[in-house]
Amino acid sequence: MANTDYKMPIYLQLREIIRNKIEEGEYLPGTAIPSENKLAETFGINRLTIRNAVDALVNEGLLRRVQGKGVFVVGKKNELSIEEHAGFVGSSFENDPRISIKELQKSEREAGNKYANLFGLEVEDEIYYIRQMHSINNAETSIEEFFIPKNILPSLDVINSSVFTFRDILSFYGIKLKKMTQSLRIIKGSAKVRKMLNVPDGVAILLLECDFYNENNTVIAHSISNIRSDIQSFTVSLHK
Amino acid sequence: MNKTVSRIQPGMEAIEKLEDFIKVNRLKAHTRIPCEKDLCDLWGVSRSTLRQAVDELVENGVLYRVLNKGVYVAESRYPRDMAGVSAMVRDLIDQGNEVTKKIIAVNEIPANKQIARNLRVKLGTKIYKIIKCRSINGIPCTIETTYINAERYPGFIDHYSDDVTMDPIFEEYYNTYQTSGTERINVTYATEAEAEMLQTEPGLPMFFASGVALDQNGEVVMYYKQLIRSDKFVFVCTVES
Repeated sequence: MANTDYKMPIYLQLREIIRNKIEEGEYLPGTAIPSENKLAETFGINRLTIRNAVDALVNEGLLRRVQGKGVFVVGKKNELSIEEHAGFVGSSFENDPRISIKELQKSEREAGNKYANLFGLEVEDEIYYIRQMHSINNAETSIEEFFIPKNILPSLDVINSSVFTFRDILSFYGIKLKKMTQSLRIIKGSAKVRKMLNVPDGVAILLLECDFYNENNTVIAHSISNIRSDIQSFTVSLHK
Repeated sequence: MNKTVSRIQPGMEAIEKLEDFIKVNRLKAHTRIPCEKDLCDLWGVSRSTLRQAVDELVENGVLYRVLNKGVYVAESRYPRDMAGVSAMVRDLIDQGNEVTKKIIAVNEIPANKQIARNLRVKLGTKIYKIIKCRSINGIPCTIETTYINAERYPGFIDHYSDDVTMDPIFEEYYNTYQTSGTERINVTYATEAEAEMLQTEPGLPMFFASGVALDQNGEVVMYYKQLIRSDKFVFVCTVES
């Protein structure tokens, strides 16, 4: 990028500042940049100018504006070696604007016996844990849980996947997936889960579990989804 | 201040320990797990936490309770993948299961709108409609309805019987190989008639899988609907690059 100098229009200078912060990794892919108010305060410029600078980067595809949530850094997409739409695909899920995601919990925790065995870690090693509520048309549809070893991602903050999918995040950080195994079963579901999802009596829950493998055939992430079967169905394609 | 992030919620921890216990010890179906008190002592969790964890795994079909006796490991469910029914039957037999099939009805019908659209044929085209029930180790598990274009595969039903699967007939007599397909998976509940056929309770949740299979030239081979007992099957899928 051309050097910025003081004669350049302010919005162009700010654009280059933000671009540099992204390139230098201060603003991580998947995370939100500071709010317009915060930027206005930091640089002592008005919000309209901030918006011009941000708009330019949004148009370049470097940032993404999300209504009511902020402006997020879009990572450079590395090729995920497995097909984007392969596996069980929620019928009304992909790129559906009516989907909203709420983060219920995001923390670091001990791997524990189960995940130590799954990821090949020690029991006391730490993993990230994220729990989200996904809604379609304002109806709670599924509770999604992700488990991922700490060394796979730079920080927990990048998984604000209310904007990006989990697969997007993996691709931003160059984590190549070699294989994914999924299982889909019908269960009654625990009373707690049924209550959170407002599942009507007599309606079953779909339990979708997924293991993600890297090129060394090691499991690098695990997900568990409890899904209302009366709201969502799945399609799957086969190519022999 | 100490970082307190690493502690797992007790409820979650108990569930994970139970799951891991079953896996690591390779506990077979119908094995009784140690009693509540022993497990609480072993893992240092409270009785109520352990009970809730067991409850959750019972609701998820991993364990089952027998009144006044204890908690047992549930039978694992048969995998059903997208490699097709023939492959599923072959795998089940390889694993030592007895798989049988009973043809319930074979009809020649004119294609209605829905069938015509799925088979990509004109309304009224002559169609074979085949309904069959499949049992594993004597337990009826699936009801399948298959629609085949009778003009494209004339005489198909003459080759088909309780003792053969469909794929070899397509391959041998019609040089048709099923190479791709798309399937939709829903949940439905057994009607009285279906429950009777499957020897189960009405209202039992079931997978409802419907789809089309395509041959090597991208032509539709069949349109099918499959009802599958959810207490016996798990849908699986592996995606590799």
